Amino acid sequence: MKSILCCLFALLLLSAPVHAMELKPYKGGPTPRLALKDLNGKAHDLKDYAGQVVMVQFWATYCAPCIKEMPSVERLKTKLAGKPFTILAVNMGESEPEIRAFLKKIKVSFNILMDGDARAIADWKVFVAPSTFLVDAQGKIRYTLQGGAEWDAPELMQTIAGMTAEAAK
Amino acid sequence: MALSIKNRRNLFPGIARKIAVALLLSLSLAQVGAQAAPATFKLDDGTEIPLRAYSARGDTLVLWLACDEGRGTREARASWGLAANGVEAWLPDFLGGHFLPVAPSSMVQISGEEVAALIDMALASTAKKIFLVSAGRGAVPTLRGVRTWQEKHPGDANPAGVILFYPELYADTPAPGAEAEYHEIVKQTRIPLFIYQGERSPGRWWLSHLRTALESGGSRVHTELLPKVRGYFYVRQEPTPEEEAMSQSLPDLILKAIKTLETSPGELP
Repeated sequence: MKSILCCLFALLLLSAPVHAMELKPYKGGPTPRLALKDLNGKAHDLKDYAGQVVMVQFWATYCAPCIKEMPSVERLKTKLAGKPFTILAVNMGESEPEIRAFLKKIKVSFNILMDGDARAIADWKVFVAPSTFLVDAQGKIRYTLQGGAEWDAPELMQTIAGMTAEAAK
Repeated sequence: MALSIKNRRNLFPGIARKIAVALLLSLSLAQVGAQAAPATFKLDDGTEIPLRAYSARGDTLVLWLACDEGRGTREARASWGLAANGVEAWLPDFLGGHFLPVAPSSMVQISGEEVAALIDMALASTAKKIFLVSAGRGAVPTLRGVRTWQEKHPGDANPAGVILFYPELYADTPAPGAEAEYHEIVKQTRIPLFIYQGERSPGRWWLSHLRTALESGGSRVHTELLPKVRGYFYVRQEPTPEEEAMSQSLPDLILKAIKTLETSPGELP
């Protein structure tokens, strides 16, 4: 039994649990550059999303909390449809075939960006999957969340909807 | 079969102590033949640390700090594999000895002094070349132990190296966007190191960062990514087929790392 507990603790360390839902104020430096292509080859630059709230989320197909939270990210997108809100989900350095195979099982409609050389992982200082940054309409990172979450839960929705309301003014 | 470091040290100073410890350990091993030899050794405070020894006739000894309640299946199976290849392996159970919860956070509570005592006992009972092995947060006490031992025995080339699987050496898990801070021991470590990191883990992207930090202390560092496996691959309850296969090859990975550290230790910066 103790061995099993050891394994569980270890896995919890690897990736924070999906119920760890607290947004924390961002304490890092200026917003790093984010310019990546999506799975279809379309270029996305964070600067082009000025005026919108952008959820920049780093994820991987091997990360259990990432998989668990993805449906809630999709629901968040649906609930905020029509608002100035965009999701840029940055895959952490995996290959296109790996990602495409994964997305056949987990259907999402938000932007999946490729970070093959892990440049964005380094620039944004991402150590855990998933890690999420909420960028305001002025391009400043306001909040971060490490680990998985139910993104359409009332507490998170309230904060994000508040940011989009500010952006709409 | 208890090996009391403190008491034996008082009774048998110097070479006599080494002979006494060697006799005690060899007797314990002889009693069980090819089986893992259950033994204990005592710390200076009287704490008894259980230890399993997988004997072999080669000139290399692996000290494996596992988080496994003293009966970890993977580490134990891998130790059999090492012994079959002539590499002796000892698995101390520090967590069990201290009645600590079997969790990675407990591993950090193991002091460098205790690991140094283990190294001391090993060197007192064998002339073999010693390599330490650990994983995850076990890397912290392992490196602290080596450092503590080296401070007491400056210039000694044994232990000859450390092999770490997916080491967790952050002082705290860094917040997104924050600078990573390592435990102090990272920059204090000065020993040949071999690090295996799962390719399917965020840590792989920070491996060169960790390597640079370790090298700044004067360590020679070799790194290798293990394809298609996640961190903690050999303790996962639901391993992928690739992780299962990689776990089976733990002895080969350790043997390869030992060979690399012996034949190509690299240059100190």
